[in-house]
Amino acid sequence: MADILSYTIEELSQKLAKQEISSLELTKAYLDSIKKQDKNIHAFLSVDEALALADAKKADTLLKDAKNITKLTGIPYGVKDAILVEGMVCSAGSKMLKDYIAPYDATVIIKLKKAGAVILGKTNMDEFGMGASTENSAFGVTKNPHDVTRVPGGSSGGSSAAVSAHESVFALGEDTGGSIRLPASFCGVVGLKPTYGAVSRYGIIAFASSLDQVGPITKTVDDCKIVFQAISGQDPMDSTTVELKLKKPERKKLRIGVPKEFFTKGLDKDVEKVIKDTIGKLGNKGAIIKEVSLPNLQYGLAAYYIINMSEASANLARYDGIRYGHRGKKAKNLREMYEENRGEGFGEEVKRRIMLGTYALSAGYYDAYYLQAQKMRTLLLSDFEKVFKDVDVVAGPVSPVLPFKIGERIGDPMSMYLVDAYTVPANLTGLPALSVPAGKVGKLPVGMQFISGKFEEPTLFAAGKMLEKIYV
Amino acid sequence: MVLKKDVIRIAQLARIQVSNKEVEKFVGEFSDILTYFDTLKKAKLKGIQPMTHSVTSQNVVRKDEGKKVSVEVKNKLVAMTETTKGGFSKVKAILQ
Repeated sequence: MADILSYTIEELSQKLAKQEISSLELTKAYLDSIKKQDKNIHAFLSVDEALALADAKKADTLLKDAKNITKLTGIPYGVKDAILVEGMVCSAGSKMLKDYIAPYDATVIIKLKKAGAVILGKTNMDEFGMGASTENSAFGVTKNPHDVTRVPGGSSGGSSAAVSAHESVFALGEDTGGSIRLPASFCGVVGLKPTYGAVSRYGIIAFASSLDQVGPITKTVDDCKIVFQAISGQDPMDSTTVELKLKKPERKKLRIGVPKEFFTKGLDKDVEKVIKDTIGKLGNKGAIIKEVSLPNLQYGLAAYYIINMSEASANLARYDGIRYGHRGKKAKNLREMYEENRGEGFGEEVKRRIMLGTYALSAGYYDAYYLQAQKMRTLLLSDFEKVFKDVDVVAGPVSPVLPFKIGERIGDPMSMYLVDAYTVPANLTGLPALSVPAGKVGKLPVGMQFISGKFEEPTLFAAGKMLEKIYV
Repeated sequence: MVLKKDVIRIAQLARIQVSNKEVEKFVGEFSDILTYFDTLKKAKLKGIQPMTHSVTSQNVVRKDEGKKVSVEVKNKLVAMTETTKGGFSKVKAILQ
């Protein structure tokens, strides 16, 4: 038998159903893997061994009786620490919430519990999702399993590193501007940012509400599909979710559009080569490759950061240390108390974004920033809609750079923001996007990004599977 | 161009205590970031409708009805706050 840790969800679900292995055995193997490796990787912020073992035993009973089994019954997974799991600390990577115990389950967790999946623990992230490296976590950086001197990407760096290092079969992430796809790319795993409204945000610590989506981080595209199916669907607790009507690919030959604006200055030459070679190989496999244009792409990042910071400043107003959160000791009056609680509880990047968001929304500036950025979203979506008249998916790099060294960019916020240039358009437009490993430069993984029309996740999976086959 | 007094003013609006060191640092960083935001000024946005929702634009309502919450849940929520009195969260005086 091959190493138990190397199996995909698809393979494991068959072995579990046939009782060739038990969930308890599998869960123990993953807990051992965490014990052995996580000192070096630091993917997890907390691991609840007792709960995981109890859930595994429950899953084994279901599997034995062959009752209410799904493909996820008995499968151990990690949860980004921005997602509420009842009874577990949910810190969102922030000192502000280091003692916050979730009083209820997020909808995605309720769904996975019903499916019989086993929670291993909560994974590390940039504070409140703000960052591209997990260096902004208040609890220490996560290391890239492919090179521990480098970042795993962010903000869902813990979830991606956990899957990459075989510390969990799959993990949940959350993507506001690339926070699933970027770390998936850096860690050599698969990550999906679903169509906005496909997955409930109830029980997620809100960052930028019009951009946030929860999604899977997995070993393979098939696994990604399984987890996506389990967590998606309309939820009365999140009025932005919609009844899910996924569109199946209509054509036999996949038409891939390659935006010329993706290949401009700022793109690392090695990354460019891997992506172009891989697109060429997809062409050899029968895909139709077309050059396309997204003329407003250059404005995406500025629009994104204006909206991101504005929405964050509003969403994070709730962290005043009164009902929950960090409370300082020195303040003499109410105003000082707010300022002290927030000044001590938030890290530097969170302060930066709340303050710039406050500025962008303040009297006299709304029209110059937020309103213009919202107009840019309309233009970008119309750029994509034009392109999707001729092609089924858009393909390009996930990140303009390779996984960078820990400490390399953290001192210069603007250089960190530029890493998000290729991932933010999908969030601004609500379109789904998938990151799939496309090759390596040395030992460093490079991810290919596919973006499709809304609710066309099946087309993304088809494109992702085609890419996977090249490397099998 | 962002000045020191601007950063202090924004920090006050956002109710965040910032150290002198942070203020010094933010002056330069905010200037860089706001200059980058200005790239949007080059875009042709005249007459374009702002996007209010990326996927659907339908209004969703649910029944306006009270939900009973168990004492257990209430206690859990109250336990999240640091200072309590009689089952409520205690704060500094609002009126001086």
